[in-house]
Amino acid sequence: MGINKKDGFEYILKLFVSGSSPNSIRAISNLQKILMKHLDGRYSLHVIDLHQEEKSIAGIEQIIAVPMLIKKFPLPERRLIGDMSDTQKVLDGLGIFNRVTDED
Amino acid sequence: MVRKVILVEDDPDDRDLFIAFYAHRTDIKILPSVGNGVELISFLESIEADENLPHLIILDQNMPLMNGKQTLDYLKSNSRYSKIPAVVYSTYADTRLVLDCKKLGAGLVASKPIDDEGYQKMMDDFLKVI
Amino acid sequence: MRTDSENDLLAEIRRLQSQLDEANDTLDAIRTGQVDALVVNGHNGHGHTLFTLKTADHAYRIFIEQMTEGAVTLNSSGLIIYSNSQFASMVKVPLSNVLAEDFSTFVTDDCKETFDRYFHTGWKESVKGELSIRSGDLIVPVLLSLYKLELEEEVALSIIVTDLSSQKETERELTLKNQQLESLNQALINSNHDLQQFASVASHDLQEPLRKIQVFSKFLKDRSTPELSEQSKFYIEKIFSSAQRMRVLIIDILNYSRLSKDDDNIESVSLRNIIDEILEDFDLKISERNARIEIGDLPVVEGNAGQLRQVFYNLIINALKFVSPDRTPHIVISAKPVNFRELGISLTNESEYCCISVVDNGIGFDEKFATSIFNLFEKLNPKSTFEGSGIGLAIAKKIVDKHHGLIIAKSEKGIGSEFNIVLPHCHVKRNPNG
Repeated sequence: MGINKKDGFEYILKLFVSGSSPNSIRAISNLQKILMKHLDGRYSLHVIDLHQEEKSIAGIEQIIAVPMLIKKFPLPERRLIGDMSDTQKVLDGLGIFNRVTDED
Repeated sequence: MVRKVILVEDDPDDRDLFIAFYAHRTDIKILPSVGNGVELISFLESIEADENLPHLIILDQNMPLMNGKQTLDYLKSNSRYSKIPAVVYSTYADTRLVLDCKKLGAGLVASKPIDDEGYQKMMDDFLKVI
Repeated sequence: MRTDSENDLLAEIRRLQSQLDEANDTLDAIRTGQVDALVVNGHNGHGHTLFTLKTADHAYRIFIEQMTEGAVTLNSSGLIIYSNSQFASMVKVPLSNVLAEDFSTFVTDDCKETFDRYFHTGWKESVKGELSIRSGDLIVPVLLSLYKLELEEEVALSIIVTDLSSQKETERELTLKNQQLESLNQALINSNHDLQQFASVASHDLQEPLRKIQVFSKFLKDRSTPELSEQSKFYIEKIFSSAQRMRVLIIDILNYSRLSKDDDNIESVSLRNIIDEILEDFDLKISERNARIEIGDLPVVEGNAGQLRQVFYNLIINALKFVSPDRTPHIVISAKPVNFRELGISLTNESEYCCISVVDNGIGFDEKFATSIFNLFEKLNPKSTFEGSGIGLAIAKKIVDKHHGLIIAKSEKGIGSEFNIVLPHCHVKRNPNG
């Protein structure tokens, strides 16, 4: 059984942020920690600062509020909003069924 | 009083001319010339009694081993010889040479003459320095 | 067993449930303060703007986004939690791939250790240092400026990244130019040294044989008078005067070459005093030729006294030499206003300039020689008519040039000549004798 990959990565993730606003920078830190621990080498993460990138992307992706994480692949597409501080919620949202240990 | 004059000059023609122009003068006695500063110093060293030292030293500027300025400098820094009046002459006595030699203590700096009239006048001027 | 339509319904319900969950999540997040900004539709449904709830000062955000330096913020692990677009273009990586990357990924391997040092120090005190970052295939030298930022709930490290490429390029060029200057300087020193050697050769070695010619030919003439014919004496005279001319020429060349040096002392020179002294020297010649000399008010000038004397000496000697046989010489030396328009120049400090003219009623020369007359050894008259090495005006011009002035000649053949000297740093003073 082969793992389905897109562009060579199993998980394609996009995190939408608002510059260096407090929740945005927390989201980046927290998410990266989670991904390093649970998905090391298996993900591609793009972080889009809506202040500096084309605003039209907000409409295309139908972003209402930021910070917002969108899991593009593997399907189905899932969305998570907030500063990613609730690790279990993030793992569940990404469809990763690992137990959250004390280390997380 | 007859003054003992020594010429420090390396050019043999100029040494001959010196004698030719001044042989007839009774106010000076021309000592045997020496060829450069080094020879002058050893000549002066060979004189034991101070009263036998020359009354006037005439230095040519362009000489090998030790030129006029360098010899003048040596003489004026030496306690025994600094009192001896010294003069400098040269083919072309430009402002620089005159200033430098005067600063070192030369009594006079002259351009080498080209005729009898010039030679006599130069010696008269030199003797005034003593 | 469920029917297809039942399965479809269930799938639809699950989808709707999912959407509802996400919508509720969004509302919860907003209520619990986990949202920074909302995306708001623009007018008529065109475009979007971000409505920021938690501001990171708007003005400063724009400032950071727009600045020409790269700006990044790192968390305690060295992860880039914020970056402006400039930094992304510096490293030639899309901004979305820069965010959430380790900063050290963009540092060249040989500089990683340096960056670690800066990073660790940066948390205690602000640090400035240089290293190299990767920019596509290139390596870019940059200046990092690290500063601790106190954020709401944690601390972060901000780094301003300045591209030093053009600076380094300028430094390289400067070093190159400096090296060129060094070698040029050395060549100049060598050339000067050669010139000095020439000077000492000219002052003695070239002149001495000539002097011997003079002495011995005079000897011959004076001491062999009875044996020599008038013709022989005449020939000996020729030998003597040729040697004399050559000595004068050598001395002139020597003086000319010495003007190349730059070590003259500058002082306030009264031109009136200089001219008075020169005229005293020419007393005999002036009365011989019955010359009439008029001197006007002359200024005081900043310059080298000896050289300025040389200029006027050469001009006056020419005025006394190139006289017309059918009239008494009349020479006027005066100051006149500088006609800048005629000269075709414009200066901001025009009042500091003065013009002194030496006018004579001598034989004059054709105006077409007005500039070439200042060339070295240029003579306009046959040798037999007027004595001279032809170097006097060349020396005068060289001295005036050294004083940053101008010398201009005007003349009409058979009528007379006018030499105008324009000099800077003049103070017009009422001369007590004037």
